[in-house]
Amino acid sequence: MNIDLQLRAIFSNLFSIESSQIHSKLSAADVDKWDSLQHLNLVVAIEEEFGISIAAEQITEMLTYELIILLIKENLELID
Amino acid sequence: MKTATEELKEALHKASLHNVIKALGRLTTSKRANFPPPTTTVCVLRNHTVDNLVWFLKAAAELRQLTIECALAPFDQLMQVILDPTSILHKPQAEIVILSLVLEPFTNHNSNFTVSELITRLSEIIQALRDNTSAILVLNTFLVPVVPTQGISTARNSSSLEHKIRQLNEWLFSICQNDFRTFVLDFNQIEAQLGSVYALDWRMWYAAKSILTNKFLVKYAIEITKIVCALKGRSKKCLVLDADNCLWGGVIGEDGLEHILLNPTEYPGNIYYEVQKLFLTLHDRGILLCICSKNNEADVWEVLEKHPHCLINRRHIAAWRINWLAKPDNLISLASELRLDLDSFVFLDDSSLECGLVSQTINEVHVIQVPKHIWEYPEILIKEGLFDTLSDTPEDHMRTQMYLSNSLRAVEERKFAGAEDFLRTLDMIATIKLAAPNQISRIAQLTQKTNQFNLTTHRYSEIQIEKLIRSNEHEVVCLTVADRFGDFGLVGVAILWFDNKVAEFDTLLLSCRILGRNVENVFLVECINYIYGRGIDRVKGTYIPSLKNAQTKMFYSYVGFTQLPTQTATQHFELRLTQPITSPHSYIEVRR
Repeated sequence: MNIDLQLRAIFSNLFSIESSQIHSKLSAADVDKWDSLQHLNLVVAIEEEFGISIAAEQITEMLTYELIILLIKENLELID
Repeated sequence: MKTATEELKEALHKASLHNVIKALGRLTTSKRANFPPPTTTVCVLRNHTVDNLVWFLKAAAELRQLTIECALAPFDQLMQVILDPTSILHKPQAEIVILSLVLEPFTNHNSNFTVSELITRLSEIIQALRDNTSAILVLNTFLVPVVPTQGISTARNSSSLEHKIRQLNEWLFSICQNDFRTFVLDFNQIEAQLGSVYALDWRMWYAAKSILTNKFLVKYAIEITKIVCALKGRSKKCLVLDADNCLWGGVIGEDGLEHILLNPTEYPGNIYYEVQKLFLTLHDRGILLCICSKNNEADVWEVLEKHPHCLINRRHIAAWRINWLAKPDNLISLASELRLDLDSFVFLDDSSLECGLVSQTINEVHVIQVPKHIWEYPEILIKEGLFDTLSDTPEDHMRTQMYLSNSLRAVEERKFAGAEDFLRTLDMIATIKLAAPNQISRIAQLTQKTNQFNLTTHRYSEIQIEKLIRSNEHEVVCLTVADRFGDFGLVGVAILWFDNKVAEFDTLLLSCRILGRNVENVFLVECINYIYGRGIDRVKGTYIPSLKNAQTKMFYSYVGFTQLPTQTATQHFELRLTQPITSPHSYIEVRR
C-alpha cells in the first residue's frame, strides 16, 4: 500500500488539481474546490480507499495533506 | 484497459464519488462530440445535504445512454425557489423535479408534531410545484426509525414517531395514486436493500445535515433514472430468452422432458417456475417475449406445449430463433422481423460466453446473465427496472397479439410478387379523428417511445397532452388502423399548431409496427386536408434529426412541400394549398 499515491489520486479527482500541485502543507485555503462539502467527500473517500473509520472529532483536524496522511496511518495501526 | 463506461459502472457500483467524477470526465472527453444525445433537465429541491446526488444521477443516466443536466437548489429554500421565476428551477425549465425531503427540518427535531399540520405544509409545497411547473415530480417517503423509539410499547402507542411517519408515508403514496405526474420513491425500501448501517450516516447527519450515504444516493439516482428512461422512451420492449437453464433448469436435449427442473414444489425447479411467472407478467404488460436458443426446435416446443409446470406457452412467444446459428446474428434477424431497434432488446442467457459475445458484437442490446447463485435469479430480472413505463395502457397488453398477427402477415407477404398487390389484400381501414380524453395516456406514451418515424421527436407527458387537447391553438389528431388480421389500435399522432393563417406540424409520428404499408402517406394527406378544411392554405413542417429518424428526412416532400434553404441540421418545409389533396392509396379506406 502506498498511502501517498492513493491519497494523491483522491485529491486530484475530488478537487480537480494536478498531482504536481500537491505538497505536504496543502490546505483548504490553497484549493478552490476544497469547501466544507468536499471536505466531507474527502472523509468518505479516504474511509473507502483505506478501509478505515474516521471519528467526527477527527474530521475537523484534517487541515493539511500532511495531517491527513498522519491520521490515515494512525487509524490503520489501530486496526492492526 | 477498461473502457470509460466500464470504469463508470464499477465506480458507481462502489459508490465511490471521486472515481465517478474521474470516469465521467473520461467519458465526456472521449465521445459524442458531433452528436450529443438529448438532455433532460432535472432540479433537486432539498432540505438536507444531498449534493453528491447530482454526480450519481449524471453517472446512472450515462449508463443508460441519457444525458442529465442537474441543478441543485440552495439548502432548504423550497418555496423561495419554486415561486421565484428566475430561480434555477425555472431557468432552464426543469422537466423533472426531485423534491428530496427529510422530516427533521419540518418538526424542528421535536416529535410532538401532528400529522395533519405536516400534511398541510407538504401539500402547500407540492401544490406550488404543480402550479408553477409542468415537470414530473419525484417525492420520497420519510425514513421510519429502525430502532423502536418507545421501546416495547412503541407498536401500542399511536402517537409514536413511527406511527406518525407511516401515516405521512401513506398520505404520500395516496398522492401519486391520483396524479400521474407524481412519483414517490420509498426511502425505507432503499434503506432496507442496503441495511441501515450502510444506508445512513449519523455522524454526517449531526456534523453536516447529511444523512444519506453515497451508497444510498447511488440507489436513489438509479431509481430516478428509471423514471427518466420511461419518460424519454428508453424502456425496453423485447426480452429474448435462452431455453436451457434459463426458462427451466437442465438441458432438454440431454435430460428429457421428465427430468428438466421446473417443479414449483422442489428446489431449484421452484426458482425457474417463479421466473416464468415474472416473464408472464412482462408479457401481460406488453413486453414481447422471444426465444433464442441453440437447440432442436421440436424439443423446445415440446416443453412449452407438454410440460405440466411450464407456464410459458407457444402463444406467449412473439418470435423465435431456435437453431445453431450465432446468437448475435439471430438477434439482428429478430429485430428486423419484429421491426424493433436493437436498443429496445434485453438478452437473457446462462452462458457467459454467449452473453459476452452479444454484448461485444451488439453494443445496444442490454445483456443479463442468469446468476450463478440461482436464488438471485428472480430479483435480478426486476431490479434494473428495464421494462418500466410511465403507465400501463391497454395497448401494451395487446401488443404481443399485434406482433403475432404481423408474423402471420409476413408469411402472407411472401405469397405476393409486388408489395402493392399484397397491401391491396389487407383491407386496411385508417380512422383519423381528433384525440379523445381516454387516449391521452397512449398519446403521451407514443410521443415518449416512438423514435424511428418521428419527425420532431418532441416528448410529452400526459399532462402536457391534456393541455394541448384543451388549447384553442392546437389540435391533436389520432390515427387508428385495422386490417383483416386484427386491430392495431392507436398508432399515429399529429399535433397541429394553428397560428393565425398558418398551420404547423409540431409533432408527426407513427408507431414502427404500422410502417411499410403506406399508411403514413394517407395520414399526412388527411391531416393536410383537415387543415385546409379549416380555411388555412399555408402549412409548415419541420424535420429535427435524431439518431433514429433519418428515414423521415424527406417525408414532407412526398406530398409536394417545398424545402426551405437552411444552414442547420433541422429542415423546414412549407406547402401552399389551392385544393384538397386526393388520397394516394385507394386500397386504404379512410374513416373520419
